[in-house]
Amino acid sequence: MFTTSEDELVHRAQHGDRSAFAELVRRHHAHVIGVVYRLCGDPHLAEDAAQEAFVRAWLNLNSYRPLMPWRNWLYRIAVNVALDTLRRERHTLAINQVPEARDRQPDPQALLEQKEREHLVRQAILALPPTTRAVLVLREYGGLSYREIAEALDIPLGTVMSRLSTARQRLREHLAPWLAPQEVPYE
Amino acid sequence: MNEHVTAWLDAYQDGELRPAEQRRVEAHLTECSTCREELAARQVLSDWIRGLPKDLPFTPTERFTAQVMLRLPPRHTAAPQTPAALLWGLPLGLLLICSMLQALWGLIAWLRFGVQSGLLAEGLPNPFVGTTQSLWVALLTVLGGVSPSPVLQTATQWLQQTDRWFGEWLGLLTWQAQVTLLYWVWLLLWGWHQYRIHPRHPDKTEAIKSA
Repeated sequence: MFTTSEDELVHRAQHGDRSAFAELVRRHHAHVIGVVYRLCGDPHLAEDAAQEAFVRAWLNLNSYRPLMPWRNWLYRIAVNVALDTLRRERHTLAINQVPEARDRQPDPQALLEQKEREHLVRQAILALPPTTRAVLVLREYGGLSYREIAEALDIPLGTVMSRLSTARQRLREHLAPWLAPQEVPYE
Repeated sequence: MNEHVTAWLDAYQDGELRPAEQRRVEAHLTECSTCREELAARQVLSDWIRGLPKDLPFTPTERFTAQVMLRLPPRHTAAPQTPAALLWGLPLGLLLICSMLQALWGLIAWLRFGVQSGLLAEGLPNPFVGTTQSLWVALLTVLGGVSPSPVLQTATQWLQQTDRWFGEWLGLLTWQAQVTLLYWVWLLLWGWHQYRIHPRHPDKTEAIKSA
């Protein structure tokens, strides 16, 4: 089946083709919501912020140049919208408000442990400073390379590395009682 | 290698090291249990982070897309001007101008050689014959010679003195200055163009940087 390339879609959307932009939204909305949700911690805020990010992307589409992938440009907008939202709402989600995942495990004990682990990790991530969290989220959930994160956040590569290192260090400290390091045999 | 590679383990785990650095870390890991334990702890943490459920009950794709499309305001649809013409055209144009000027300079040098060697002495004005001054000074001397203006005469004399003092260095420095000037003009125009087509909005990256 023929699929239009992303560059072509962006080009058409820049010329006002709304259907091309709709296709871009379809392709990227899950990733954008995922990243924004990990930054905000609230699914409702995340959906609103993701919609706002796409609206801003539409409004500023003519300023986009293919010097960086469109996805990274979109992430840049999404992260900024999420940070704006966090500043505005000053809202973090309590554990009992976290939405349930659809793929539950059948074993009640395993499910309980899984939920406890998810709760701990969520709390630890949400406890990070927003800018540090943004780097971690783009790496772990956005799947961006260091260079792409630097582009998306418009920060130096060294800053990406230091923030990522800081984020992981704080998570390790936060989760230390539950993280059991294991000796890894090495060939 | 005795030094621990703890500082490199994040980048190693993310596959961001260069091949040589990666081999160095791998070699160290084979002999250092401390760093292996560090790496194992990082891997456990990474598994925990990435283990958060991805299939969250968000709005389905089509509905989300429809909601976004309903919120889209009208937008000017003028396509942006492609920067390609400026990106390639301007430096190429400057290069062409430089080449033409260099060719002209070479022609003048050969002309002077012809004059000084006597081959072209008969066909050129008197000031060129046997002179060591630059062609542009010689031309001005001709103009000054036929001009009744005392100001131009004075200026010509001053130029002749300056030219003798600088000698051949003046031409060389002039060319270097021209090439440098052309380069900086292009750089400034390119920077201005980039600023114009890449406005800072919609990114509020300053907020990110400052925190």
